[in-house]
Amino acid sequence: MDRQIQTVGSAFLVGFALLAMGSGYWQIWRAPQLANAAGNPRVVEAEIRASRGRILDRTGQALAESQDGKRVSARPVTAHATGYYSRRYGTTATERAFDRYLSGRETSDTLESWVRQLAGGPRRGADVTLTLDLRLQEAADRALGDKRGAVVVLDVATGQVVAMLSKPYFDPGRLDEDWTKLSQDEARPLYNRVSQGLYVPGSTFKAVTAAAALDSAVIQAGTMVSDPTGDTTIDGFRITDSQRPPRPTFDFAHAFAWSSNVIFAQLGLQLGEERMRRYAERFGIGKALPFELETSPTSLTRTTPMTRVLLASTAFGQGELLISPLQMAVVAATFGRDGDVPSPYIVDTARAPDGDVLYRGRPGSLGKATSAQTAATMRSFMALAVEEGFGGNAALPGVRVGGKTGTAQSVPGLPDHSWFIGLAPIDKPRYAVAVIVEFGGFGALEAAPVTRQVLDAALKLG
Amino acid sequence: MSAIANRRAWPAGRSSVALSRAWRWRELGLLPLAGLPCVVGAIVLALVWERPLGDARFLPIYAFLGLLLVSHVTLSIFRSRSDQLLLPLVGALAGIGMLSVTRLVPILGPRQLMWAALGIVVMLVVAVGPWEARLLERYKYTSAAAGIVLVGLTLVFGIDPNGSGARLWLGTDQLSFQPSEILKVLLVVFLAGYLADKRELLTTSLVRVGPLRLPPLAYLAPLVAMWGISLALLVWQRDLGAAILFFGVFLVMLYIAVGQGWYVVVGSVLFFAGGVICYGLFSHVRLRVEVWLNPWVDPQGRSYQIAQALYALGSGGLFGSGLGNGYPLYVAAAHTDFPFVALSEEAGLSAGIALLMLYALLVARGLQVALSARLPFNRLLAAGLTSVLALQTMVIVGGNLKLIPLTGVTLPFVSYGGSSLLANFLILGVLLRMSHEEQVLRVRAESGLSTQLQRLWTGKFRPLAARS
Repeated sequence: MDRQIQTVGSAFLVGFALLAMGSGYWQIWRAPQLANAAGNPRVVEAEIRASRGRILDRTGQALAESQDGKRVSARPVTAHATGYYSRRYGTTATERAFDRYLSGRETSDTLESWVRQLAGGPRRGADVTLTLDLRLQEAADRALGDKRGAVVVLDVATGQVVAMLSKPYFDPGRLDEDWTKLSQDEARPLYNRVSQGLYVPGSTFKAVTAAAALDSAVIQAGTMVSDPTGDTTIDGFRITDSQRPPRPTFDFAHAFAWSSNVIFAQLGLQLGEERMRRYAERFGIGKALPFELETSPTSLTRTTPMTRVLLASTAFGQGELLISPLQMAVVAATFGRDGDVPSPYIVDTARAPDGDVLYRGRPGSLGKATSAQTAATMRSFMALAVEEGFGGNAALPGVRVGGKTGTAQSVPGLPDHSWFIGLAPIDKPRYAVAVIVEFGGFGALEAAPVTRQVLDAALKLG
Repeated sequence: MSAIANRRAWPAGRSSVALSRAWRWRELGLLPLAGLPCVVGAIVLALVWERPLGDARFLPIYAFLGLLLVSHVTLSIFRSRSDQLLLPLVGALAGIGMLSVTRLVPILGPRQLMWAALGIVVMLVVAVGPWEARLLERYKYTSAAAGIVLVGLTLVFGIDPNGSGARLWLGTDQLSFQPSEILKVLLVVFLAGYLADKRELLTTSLVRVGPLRLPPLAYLAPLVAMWGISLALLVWQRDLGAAILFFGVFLVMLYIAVGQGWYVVVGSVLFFAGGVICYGLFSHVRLRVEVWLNPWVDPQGRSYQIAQALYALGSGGLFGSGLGNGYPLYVAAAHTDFPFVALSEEAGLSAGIALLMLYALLVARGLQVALSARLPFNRLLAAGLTSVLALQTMVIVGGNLKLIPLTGVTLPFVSYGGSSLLANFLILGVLLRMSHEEQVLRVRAESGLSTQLQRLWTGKFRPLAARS
């Protein structure tokens, strides 16, 4: 009988092992599928009970919070900064990048939170505070009006994103209801134009070319240049200024202020492809900027090596350039930091319910793009562009503003995109701005006034 | 006469070696470990519910731990030499059971405690009382008769106090018990007696029928009867769990007694064939099977229970949602039919596997008792009772995991339910008793009483009562 009893014992053991495997099948292998099954009451229960952290602006205003298990957004105007949090359609922006703090997966090291974690109690998420200022965000919204486009304001000293507006925006709290409409809208309200939008930068890119040329001593601010006709031909390709300079001969500073394509095309050829690339790279162009939110990689050109025509076009901001507003704001801010490229960031802190700071965003640098002297020259160029050049619409009473207009071809048959980058106060810069108004036409007419209003609001924040 | 004198001398014991080892230190050492799950569980629940640890709803847990200690002291005082792993193993399981009832339906805690206390008393009486396990052999036909009467009574007077759809209980709505729980013990006693008696005939006098070598048809009759009774349970009482359990235990014991693997194969095939026929004939069997095969067709209706159980399992993951933080109550009758699922949801796969390992260890110790027994009846009894625990666990956990159709049998020691606790503690009592007896015999054999052992081995040892 011994053998039989042992056989029976082995059979039972196999049986128990099969049960353990069956358990593992449901609990591990099939778990993801079961968790999202329509009939599973846990999904709703968990959302009602878990308290996801809030997203706040820098003054403590709630931008997104959870009420009765639903994620509501008090301020659709910050939709692209907070992002959305949808069970069905996923998460984006801060909701996604800081999910482990908001959801409470990341907790403080205190005994209380440890015990809570051990007990598996309902998680309480950390509050995430953005560097965004809601008042400025709303000012930017008013300034842009009902036009499509983007506004980004950087704090020059720290690289903090103080405003980040992408229009049209959406209500993250109604995402599930509005999804079909939003996802099919040709205006693409769901995507963040500031960091994901890629545009031809137009003349705003002349700031990069000018800085590269000055920094590598290819030209000086006072070097006299000549553009009497407002057009030239390079390898059979005709290049024209959008507005002919008022004088036939002028110094390089005025070539920047009057945005002479002819001069910058020639300068590009003088500079050469290698230096063009090197400086673009130093400003962060050619890859995605390091940023907490979804960011598209920018690019100088797809073609290597560049033809002379392409190099010349790139130098005045056309060619194959694809740049985001955030990148242009970083370029402007660089001149306000004596040539040091800021690393932009938008999340200030993640704070656990017990007050512990779990995460703190810190100012960073992407390296030196130009010398302090070049940066100072560029500031004077930008001031000149506002005071004597086409950027006059960005001027503010009592504050010296620096800037550069840009006009970029959009879709054939439609008005151009209107660009502006600004820096104020120019003598001791605090804010760097990049604005694009889609189909806004000439940069000086649309984007410059928007910049003025935004800078005005920013400087009044105190 | 001297043999009788010796026999009367224990449990006081003669050998000084035995005396010095009278206290059950190993058991005592293991009991804190056995109590750990429910102590930790109570602490966690107190944290989650934000109630003090002294809250009334936790008292049954503490009282049960006290009962475990009392059991240990009692066994030691009565110098039981029984296996010292059995009590801690069952203590851990029943402790998890107390915790599970407290977690799921706190107001049922005191009732569960009451039944556990009653069960422990029965266990202790059986374990240390003045009798011998082999005396049960004489009551094999009495057992069978009692069993048949019970089944009959249930068929006629059965009630369905909790609306499960099957009339499986006897008594009134207030106080009812489930005869199938007692029935399983009676069945094992009968089978152990019958098979121990007839095993020689069943193995030796074979008749050739074609390629098979069958025992005489007269001896096959009980087998066929057993098969019929099991299917009858399935059809008339709608109690698939009991049907599988009883027939399974029967096959296991038959195999142990006769040693013919093909009995098991043929028996299983017969049972399966019977099941298929019932599937064709009876709509309620068909419904059960369809719900089992595809619970996602009607997850809000007929297959609500199993669908919810699978959701619960899926949400558990490796370490669970934490005790008190899951939603096991979405599974209807979680405390009776799905404690394994509730545990798996809140304590995870790790706890589920740990629970299965506890059962596996318990079964291993039970079979060890069977292996160490000298009389065929004792061996069959121990193996049979252990198989009841093993198979019942597999049937209910397998049903919970959708490996087999869902049935209403309880998870031994863990499910809420008085009859079940009582019957399982009775089984534990018998196992303790038998391991005690074998150990005593072994110690005495080592002390030089080999003559008696010799007689035991040759099977010429007559029951005590027969000599008076």
